[in-house]
Amino acid sequence: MASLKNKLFIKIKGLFFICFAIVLILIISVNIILAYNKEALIKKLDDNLFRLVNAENIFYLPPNLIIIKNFTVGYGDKKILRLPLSTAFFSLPEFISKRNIRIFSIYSDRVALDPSTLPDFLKDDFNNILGFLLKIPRQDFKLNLRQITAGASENKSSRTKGNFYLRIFKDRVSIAGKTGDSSLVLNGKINQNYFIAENLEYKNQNIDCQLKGILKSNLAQFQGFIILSDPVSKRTNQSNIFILDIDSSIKFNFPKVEVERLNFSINNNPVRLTANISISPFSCDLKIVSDFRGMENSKKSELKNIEFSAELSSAAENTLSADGRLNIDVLEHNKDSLPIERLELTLKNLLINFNEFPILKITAQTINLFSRTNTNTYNIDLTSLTAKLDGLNQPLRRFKFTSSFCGGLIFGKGSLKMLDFIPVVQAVAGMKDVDSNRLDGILVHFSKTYGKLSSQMYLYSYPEPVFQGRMNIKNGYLNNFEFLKWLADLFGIPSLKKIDFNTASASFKADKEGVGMHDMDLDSKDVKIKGFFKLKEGDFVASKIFFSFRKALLQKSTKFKPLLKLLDKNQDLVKFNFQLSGKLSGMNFKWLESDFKEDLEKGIPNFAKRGLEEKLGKAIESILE
Amino acid sequence: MPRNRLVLLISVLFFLFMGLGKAGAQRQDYQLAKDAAKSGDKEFALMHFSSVLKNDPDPNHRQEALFAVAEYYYLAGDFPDSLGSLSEFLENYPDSKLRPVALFLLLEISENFNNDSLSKSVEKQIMDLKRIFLVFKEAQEYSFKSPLGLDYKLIYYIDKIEFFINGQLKKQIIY
Repeated sequence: MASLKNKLFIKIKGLFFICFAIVLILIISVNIILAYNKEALIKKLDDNLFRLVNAENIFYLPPNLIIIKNFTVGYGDKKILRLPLSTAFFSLPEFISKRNIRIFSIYSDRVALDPSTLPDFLKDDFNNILGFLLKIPRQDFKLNLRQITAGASENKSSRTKGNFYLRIFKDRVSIAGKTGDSSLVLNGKINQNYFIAENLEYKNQNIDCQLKGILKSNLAQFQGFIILSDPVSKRTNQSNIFILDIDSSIKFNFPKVEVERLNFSINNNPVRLTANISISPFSCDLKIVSDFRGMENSKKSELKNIEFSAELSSAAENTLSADGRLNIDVLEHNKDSLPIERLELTLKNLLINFNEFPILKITAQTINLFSRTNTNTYNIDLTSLTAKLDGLNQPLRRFKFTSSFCGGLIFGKGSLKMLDFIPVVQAVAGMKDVDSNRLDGILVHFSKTYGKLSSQMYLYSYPEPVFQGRMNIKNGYLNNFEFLKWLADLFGIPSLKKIDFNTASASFKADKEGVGMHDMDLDSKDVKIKGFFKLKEGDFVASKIFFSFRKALLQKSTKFKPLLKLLDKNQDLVKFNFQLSGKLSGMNFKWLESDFKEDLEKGIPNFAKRGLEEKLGKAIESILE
Repeated sequence: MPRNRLVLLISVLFFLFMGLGKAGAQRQDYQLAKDAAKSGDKEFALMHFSSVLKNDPDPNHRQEALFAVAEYYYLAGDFPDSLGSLSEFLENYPDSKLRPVALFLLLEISENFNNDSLSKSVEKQIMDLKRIFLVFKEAQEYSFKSPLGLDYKLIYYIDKIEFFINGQLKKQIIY
């Protein structure tokens, strides 16, 4: 009985061994077949994508498991996707009955993505990839990617890892992804020719994005909203940026992308954007139009029409070239704002080099800034600008610049940071050997001031914008200054029309109270000028100017000579001090007290004073016009 | 026929006397208003000036009457009615010599209402009114006698304007 049992056991063992051997042979055979036909199998993925896809080894494990080692997508060394080890499950019944390998689940670990190769990838194969995705048979499928890392950083441990999950069930598609504090959810419906995104959500601590729309092989149309919160100050909703009512229509014909329409509102300011983009080589014709009231979302802010157009293109390696124009028309003014009606910024041949990112090197052939207030126009031309912007990856960015400016140089450095989405700028700048008469685009009175101007300037944009500094003009002259011209004609002293000076200096300040010059000081052989001139809110003037003329100069005048007899003989300088106030367009005038005026008053009878008052009043009115 | 002529003559004379009577009454209203103002009886002056506004077509009388009505309401502290009359006065008589006074009264009323935008606008209008040139003088003075008998004085300095009523400083605007 025992020997019978032993024989049976030996037979079963033999049978088991034979079965095992058959299975082993089968597995080995299948694996040998897989190894030999690896490329043919991969090619079955899609003829067009075959050259992109590679796998080092493919193994079969019973009953329905396929293990793929080192699966990659990309060209040569530029791999956009690397899957070191993936396991795929196929349907055994379908394989047995239909001899068809239908994979219904893929699991992969330690997935590596390199987004830097994305532009090349999209440029050459976007249509192929999209076509492949749309051609995938609509069958139930799951894709689970774990520990995804993105980027080509050397320090692999510092990379954030994420997970991605895709499920296709009948015509429903669900996607979920998570990396760090970011999460992505997409639910939609796939069809032969299009994909409907019913809900696309992307969230992290700074972004809340919700979109829905349709994606076809050559068209994407999306609607939705994005809320951006300030990572530095997350105090209140006030610091959020609300991008609402997004309505877009984007055409794809890679490498071309045409943004036919991208309309949205940013903190209640409507924005319309259109663009023609070429992915590689990169170029972009961009146009943005907005009726902008301010990011504070306040009705108190003034309404501005903003129009920005730019032609961007990739120049040399890692260099962006731009020609652009920004126009701002201020339609309303509030009492705290600068009285600017129009601002135009024109950039020509601007080159931004990213080679040393986060340092940007910037050059520009010309930058023109034009502005118009209700009373004046201002024009600033910078040529051959070079600038450096450092710390783009940090909250505080520093910049330096130098540029040719009106025959001289302008240079400076400063810092820039964002506070509640408002740029905070601090800068110190200087001018050297600038032709002062060419500054008439900034202040028209410079057109009559000649000489080499140097200046130190300070600019702060927060908490209130302030621009101040001091300037000096050396070895120059005043030519045909209205007041001096009038005096020259009135008293017959032609030399007053052109006054040479060694130095002229003044401090200046522009803030929300107004703009002005103070501590003005001009020292020449025959004339000295001191004083201040301030233009306040509503174009109201506050000014006092003190002229001193050397007696020897006035003695040249036959008309003035009799008046000089009234003066104290010891006086070498004849002082003429006056005050201006009221509206710039109709200033009030007062002749201030001086020794000269006092002596003159003493020497003129009262009835003559009235006549002189009237006469001088009319003459001064004609100068101030 | 002579009877008809007589009827016609009587009718013409009737209407003529009616018209003359009315004109006389209008002139009387204006004179009565002036007399009442002169004697310090402001209520009667208001009554007669109101009649002038209703009946008197003379633009000079109407201008004076409108200002007087605004002035009366201002003095009585009835600022809403004064505001209405002053606005009408400023709109209808932009070249009146009393315009600066009307603007100062309007400024005080707008400040009383805490109406900042109106105050700013009125202040701007006052500052735009006159351009001065002071060669030997310290300031330029302008005096007005109002229809209700008040003495107004404006002194324009180089950087400020002062407004006086009956010698008392009421308002100062600094540029």
